[in-house]
Amino acid sequence: MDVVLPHVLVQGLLWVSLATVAALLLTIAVVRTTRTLTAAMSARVLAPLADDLLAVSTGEDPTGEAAARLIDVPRRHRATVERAIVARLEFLRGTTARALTDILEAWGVRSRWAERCRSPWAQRRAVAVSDVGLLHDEALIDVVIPLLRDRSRTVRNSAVRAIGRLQSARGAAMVLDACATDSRSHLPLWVAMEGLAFPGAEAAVAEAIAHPCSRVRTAAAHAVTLWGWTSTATPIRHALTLEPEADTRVHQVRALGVVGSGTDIDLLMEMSSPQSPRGVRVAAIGALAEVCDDSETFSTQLTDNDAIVSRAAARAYGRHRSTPGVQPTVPAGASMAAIQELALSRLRAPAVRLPLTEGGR
Amino acid sequence: MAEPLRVLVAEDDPDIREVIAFKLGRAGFSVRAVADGASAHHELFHGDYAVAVLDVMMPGLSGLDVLATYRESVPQGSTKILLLTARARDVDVDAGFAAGADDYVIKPFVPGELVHRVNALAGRS
Amino acid sequence: MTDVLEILRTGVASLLHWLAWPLLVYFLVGNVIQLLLIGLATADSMDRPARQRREGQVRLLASRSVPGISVIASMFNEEVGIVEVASSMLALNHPLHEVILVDDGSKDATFTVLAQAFDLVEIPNVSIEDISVREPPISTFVARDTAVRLTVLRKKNSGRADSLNVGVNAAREDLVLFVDADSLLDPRALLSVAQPFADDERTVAVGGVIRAVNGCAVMHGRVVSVRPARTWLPRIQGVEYLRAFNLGRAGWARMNSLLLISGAFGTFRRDVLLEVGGLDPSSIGEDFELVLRIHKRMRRLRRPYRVRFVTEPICWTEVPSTLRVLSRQRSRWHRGLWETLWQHKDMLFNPRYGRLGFLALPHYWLFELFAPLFEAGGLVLLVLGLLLGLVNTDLLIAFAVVSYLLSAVVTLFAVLGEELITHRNERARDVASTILASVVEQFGYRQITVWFRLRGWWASLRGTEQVWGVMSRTGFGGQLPSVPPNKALPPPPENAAGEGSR
Repeated sequence: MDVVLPHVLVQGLLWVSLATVAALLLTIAVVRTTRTLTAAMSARVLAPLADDLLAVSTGEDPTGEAAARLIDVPRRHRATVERAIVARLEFLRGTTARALTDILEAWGVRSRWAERCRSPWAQRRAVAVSDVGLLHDEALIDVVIPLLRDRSRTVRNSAVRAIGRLQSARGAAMVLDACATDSRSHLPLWVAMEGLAFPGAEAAVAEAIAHPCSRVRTAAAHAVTLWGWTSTATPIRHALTLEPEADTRVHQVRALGVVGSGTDIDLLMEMSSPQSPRGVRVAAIGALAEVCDDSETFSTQLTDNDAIVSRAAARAYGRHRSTPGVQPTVPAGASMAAIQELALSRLRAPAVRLPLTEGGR
Repeated sequence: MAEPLRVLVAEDDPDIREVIAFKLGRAGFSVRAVADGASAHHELFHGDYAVAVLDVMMPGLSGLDVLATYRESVPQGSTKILLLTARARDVDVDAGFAAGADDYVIKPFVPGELVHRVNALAGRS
Repeated sequence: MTDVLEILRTGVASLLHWLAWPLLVYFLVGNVIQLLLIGLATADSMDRPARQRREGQVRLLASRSVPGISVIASMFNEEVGIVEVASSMLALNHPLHEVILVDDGSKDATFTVLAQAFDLVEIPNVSIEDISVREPPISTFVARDTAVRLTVLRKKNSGRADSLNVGVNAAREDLVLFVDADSLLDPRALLSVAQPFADDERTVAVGGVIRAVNGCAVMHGRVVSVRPARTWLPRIQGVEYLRAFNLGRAGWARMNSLLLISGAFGTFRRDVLLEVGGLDPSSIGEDFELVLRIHKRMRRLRRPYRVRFVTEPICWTEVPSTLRVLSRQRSRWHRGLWETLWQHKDMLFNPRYGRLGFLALPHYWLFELFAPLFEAGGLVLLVLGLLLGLVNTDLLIAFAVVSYLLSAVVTLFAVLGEELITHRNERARDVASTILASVVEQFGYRQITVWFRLRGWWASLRGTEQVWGVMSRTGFGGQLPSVPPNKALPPPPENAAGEGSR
């Protein structure tokens, strides 16, 4: 009783498998060599221009000769040099960055890149919109805004980043709209923040605080927490009193901690009462620590049943009370978690305030 | 003419590395540029550098790792450390300083400003 | 005598008659499924090339909206290398992370070396029992310099799962990352795992790639140069991890059906962990069991959720370099797989669990749990058939092709996938050695693991008590082990750090 297998099938399977092995080995080799070859080819194009590129990138081109030579590069090499310039624009700013963008503008990249933003390939669109942002010209905002609703997530994220670079107030408003839950684009909150990281976004954020969609309200409140625009204090306060969503309230409370003042203590105390969900309570206690100097505010919460809440209260309490080495007095009935946190405060050195200098403005 | 001061640059992105090395070279420093943390660690141990510019976000041994091990193994080391970082939040800056950094520069940066910082650390006006 | 032979012959012949085709189809389908998963994972990762992903991490950092992470590890007799591991965990690139080490009743100098290295100071001990534990912490220590966010909890020995639960209770951040006390992490690891949570609010758990550190150059707790291991056994395991554990899982994650997140490197939302009650200390495959329970709960509550997988190589661990340790590991894994699958058999073909019940779980039952049985059976049958002259060339070739050659194809596919996703540019020499190892794997290694797995399964069916092993550490950089190998196996439940179910 031999098992009969169609000979043809077996032979076919064998040869197909062997061929696949060979094909895969070949592909692996090809992928590796292509990578090396393309790198070598672009290195060859860039080699004679390396010095000029460096000179312009580092501001060592006072006469502008290096820039002029780069502008005169033959058309067939422009694509490679364009990529090299864009790569440098990612990490440079100031006069040297502007010198590099001048070269790109001299080549008339604007229209080409705007065209690429409409390419059928998502990767192309993403790269194009990111490049457009690097030109730092607000006038380009209309090229970027449609891509906020792109079907590819990578493209959407790049568009937001471009809006942050272009520093367009209108763009900021659109970014906030794109945070809505029903919108197909549905931006992650941290990505949205990139599109709001400039002073001009303040007005759009202030308006979005009262947006009908809770996720947009959350995004707006989060932005306030990061950039502390004081003009947003009143809208935040107002929104907090009406906010139905607990998650959003957490962000609004945090925002109030950053932009609020002593007049908000009552509201924050209400938010920290046991009726609120834990997240809101903890955020409220943190906010109270920011707006209020009196550590007695937290003494009741030190005895709270919820360990996490009492720990947050202890942190706030310890912050205000402790000088290094001196033991903050522990109120009677404080929870074990609070006591542990107070012990930690004892160990903490006072916060070192560092000058807020950056890489040159 | 005094011997040029030595500066170490550790950066895995070749474009950034090139820009920084070139600019510092033009500013009169003798620059040694390496592409990863392990090489930077080795150089710091065996070289005599006035300033080291370390990128925080390198794979393998990061700038913070190099900084920490340098401070640990050479507590009397005179090399000043400048961190190149993408962070912009005070808290993160504190972490770098707590680990023993002397200054930091945030990306995107202005090349001239970077040189200014390195000069200041090297004790030149 | 000839009668016996005749009976045997007839028996084997009829077995072959009935089982030949099913077995062939089984191996064919199994390998094709692996190919599909790898293809899916590669296509998904190519959508965002490595460079863009790295930039995304930098942007996440700069956005100042990164979720905080509590890195939790359970330690048992880890005096060799724990300080280096702890330092490297503290130096991970993240603005808001803390490290919690739980000393599961170590009998050696684990705590002493930590106390000395980090200047530990005792603070009042409090047991927040968000998750109920068997052995709550006895004492709590922190680093005197509070900028170093290290917490060490000491407790009586009760096993890894219970210790991790203690860690979760003490965690202050929104996300929790479980690691083994001997794992090495890339400095960007925390950003990598935080990204899926930041990108999608529905994400509840994230798995990650684990690679073999044997052979790599390690400096100060970081892998500075990736090399395949010098001996064959770990080298083959490296290939195995690449094929089976990494891209395969990414493929399942793409279909939102990832069932297994390795305990050696898994990130979870703390609130979800609290909801499901943490890890189960009585389970042997506790990591697998946790993820299944999370799936169950999310689906039962009809809550939108995602379990994701990051494909960057950011976690490194020492794989067994001796057959003895390998056998213990594989037996335990298979036993854990069996017991967990059986425990949750109600999920199988249950419409409430959608793709899990109809795709992922059946796959695990058929192609993971029963795999060693079919492989062993098929091999025995084939050998017997050959000896008795019942097997013709065609059948032999067919078997060889579908089970061995196709497996090599799958491995090559995985190697290609890694090349396309390009995280680190490996030397051509190393890629070649990986390919060679994948061939060697088929002749000997594979059969041995089948034996180990069957043993573990049999032990479970017989109700044998699970004894946990202690993996003799060779440490990093080839230091001598301080734990003497071959000592008597300690009574359960010792902490088997380093042997999480992969």
